[in-house]
Amino acid sequence: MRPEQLAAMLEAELLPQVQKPGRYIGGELNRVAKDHAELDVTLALVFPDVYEVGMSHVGLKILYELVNRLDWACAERAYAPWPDMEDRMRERGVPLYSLETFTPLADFDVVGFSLQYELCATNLLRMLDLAGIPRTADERLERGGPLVIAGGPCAFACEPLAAYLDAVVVGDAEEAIVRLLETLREAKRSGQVLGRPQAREALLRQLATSSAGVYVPQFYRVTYGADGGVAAIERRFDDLPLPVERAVVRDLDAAPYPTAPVVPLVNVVHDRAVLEVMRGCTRGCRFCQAGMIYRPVRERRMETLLGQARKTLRQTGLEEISLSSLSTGDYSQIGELVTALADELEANATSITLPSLRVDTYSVDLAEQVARIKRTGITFAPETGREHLRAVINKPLRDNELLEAATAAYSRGWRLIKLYFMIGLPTETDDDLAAIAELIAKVSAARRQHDGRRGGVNVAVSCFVPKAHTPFQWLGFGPLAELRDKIRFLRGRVRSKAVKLRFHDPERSYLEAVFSRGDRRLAPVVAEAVRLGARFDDWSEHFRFELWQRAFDAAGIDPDAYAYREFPLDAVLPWEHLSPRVDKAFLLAELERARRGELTPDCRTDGCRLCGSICDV
Amino acid sequence: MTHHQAERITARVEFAKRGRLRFIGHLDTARAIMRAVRAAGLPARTTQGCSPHLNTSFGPPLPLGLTGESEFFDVRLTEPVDVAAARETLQAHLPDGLEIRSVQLITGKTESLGAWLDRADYTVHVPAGVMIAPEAVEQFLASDEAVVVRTRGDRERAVNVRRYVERLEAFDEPGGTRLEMTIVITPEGSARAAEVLSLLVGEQAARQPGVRIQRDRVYHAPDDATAR
Repeated sequence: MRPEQLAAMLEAELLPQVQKPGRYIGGELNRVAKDHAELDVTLALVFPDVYEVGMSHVGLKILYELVNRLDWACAERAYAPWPDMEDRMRERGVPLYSLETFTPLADFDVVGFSLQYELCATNLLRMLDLAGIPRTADERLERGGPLVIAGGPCAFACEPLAAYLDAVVVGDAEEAIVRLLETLREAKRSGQVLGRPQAREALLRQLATSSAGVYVPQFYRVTYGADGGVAAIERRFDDLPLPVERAVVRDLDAAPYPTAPVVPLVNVVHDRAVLEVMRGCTRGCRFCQAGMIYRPVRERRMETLLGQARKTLRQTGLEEISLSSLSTGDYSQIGELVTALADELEANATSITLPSLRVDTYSVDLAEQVARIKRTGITFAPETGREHLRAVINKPLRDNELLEAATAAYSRGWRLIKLYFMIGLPTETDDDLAAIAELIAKVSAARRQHDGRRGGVNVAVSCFVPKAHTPFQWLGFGPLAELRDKIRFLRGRVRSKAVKLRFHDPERSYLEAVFSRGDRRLAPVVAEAVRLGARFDDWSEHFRFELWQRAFDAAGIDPDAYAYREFPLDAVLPWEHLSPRVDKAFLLAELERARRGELTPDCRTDGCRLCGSICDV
Repeated sequence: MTHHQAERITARVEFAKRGRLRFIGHLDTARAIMRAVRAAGLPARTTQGCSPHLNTSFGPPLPLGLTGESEFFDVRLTEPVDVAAARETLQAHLPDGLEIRSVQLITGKTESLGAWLDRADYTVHVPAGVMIAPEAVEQFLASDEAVVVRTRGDRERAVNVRRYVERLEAFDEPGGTRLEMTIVITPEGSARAAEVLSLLVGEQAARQPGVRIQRDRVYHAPDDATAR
């Protein structure tokens, strides 16, 4: 279908009949639409969730900027159509298209998915189907089609999706994407017909061997042992990297960053400008995958950030700016940065959000700085109720530090504090759970000494899911029945009207656990779940656990074996061939320390812990 | 006027909303415009309080799916601006489909646009496949009552929209029929062009692909023109 035809059909027949049609029209301020006839290579950046979610993520915005700076290439966007739109597109034979030029996705040279969470797998397959792109790398080798690639945190444990991907960018994609497109450009220029299997395979081979951080799943063979685990992962050619090492941006300050991001047309989840103040975190929380796979900590200079803030606000008019990172409170000049920004932005009513602060009174000082423009919520993440269990997960926080921070927040005008907890952590007992309830009550009571009232507390409780490349990767999830009991237990103990308690759906966490440590044998389960109607599994309103249970049955896979599996310490892990540049020996040592309840201090302040990452510490 | 009592300055901006942008709603349109005002660096006044924002006022909401050729918003300024330059910089910071048609400076007190603009002209293009009975328009105009049912959530409400329709005419045009109407906007309520159309052709037909509704202009009628 030609872009003009597609656009005309959308306008006349589809958009008048769907919810929130503004998601599907493009044309936003700062979008870049180029004439494909003048380009050598075209890339579609795809987020396998709805516009409002996809437009809130910063990763693809960086790549969009980076690629559109090239005069020979373009990057355009596509998001998952909401179920009503998807159904109508299928009915009317309208293929998935890019928002910039209404080009069908199948007409791009490269289609790149951002994998931010495990439960986007069904959407990924549905989007390939809707685009008319053959699902598997094998089919595409035979029949041609765009190169289907993926990146994002789930790239580090992408084996369940390996069959569907031609190549996976592992690590900081801005280091790898341009080289990948250049390689493709050279191949096209030298007249290789990439529809032919040999040419396609040769190109993939070149990608796999010539740039760091590119993983081509079909070039690695996985065999399974009698115990049900992976027996071996072998490369098919000697010149392939094993393991595939993650691409790393060394100098974040010099790395390109978008200061004219596309401004969404409809209200999106995070409708604000984003400054990436730093990347990586070395606090070393043992459950946290991001804290392991984005090492080392790299900061942007304050002057760089202030300049980016000014430019971004001038080119977007956005009303809010967020200082984003895994742990913004750890930015070395956070106080100066917040003061400078607040001073500058107060005059034109631009508010500042600080999404990931530490649990201490200094954080309340920072929050107060930005509250003079607009008071936003204040959030602390004690993760669990007792100091002992916090030592197990390596989150050193004393209860009285939290209570002091809460007291400070209530006395300085906040009426509501948000708390994050996790249940199902290794070694957790009923006493730990009871301690969560007690701690919540103490936080609420912390307002008493200020004005005699109880403080509001919103509590979000999620279920611990063991993730690949973390010290807890060897441990099992849940189990589900126990988590349900724990939720009941906590509900029974938290009775105050001042406290709102919300739990993440344990069934969804269970499914996440299956996929976060899964292997290639799960690929047919995803296909079967799609066939049965699964989509938008990360949305509680769409998630249907029973579909997945049927899909596992049909594929002859026992999901418990995946979710609950404890890997022997000497086992070959399904993601062993993908390296975030953190040593397995370090992860093992951390697991041992967790078992002994020993803390490991932050290497930025207390010396190197030999994690294996490339850094200057 | 004394020095410490600054004069009120308002920029009244006329704009068009066209093409695919008709698929974003009033609030989304207003947000895009406010962002353009901020990005353009106009000396806009902000409200005080715990959630400061621009001091703006918009004309009556254009329903989702309709294009508008002459819509309005006001923005309070702290100082006068060059209107030609303001128009240009605003335009540079808007999405496809929003076009600034003119910027006018008003000094002194202004009524809120929502209250002041009390008429709207519409043109509806109806494709040939949708039949409008020749006498339908006359019958509509001759009767005192034309009731539509509006649903909001679970609640249904019957509204007589006849009294808001001041003018209704049908013309043959290549490929179908063109309807033109003038609708009165009152604090108590108004009619939607799509409702009038569905009263003429039926609800199903009014939603046919190819039906295009445009609001030609929103304006303040002279005082002698009164609603029925």
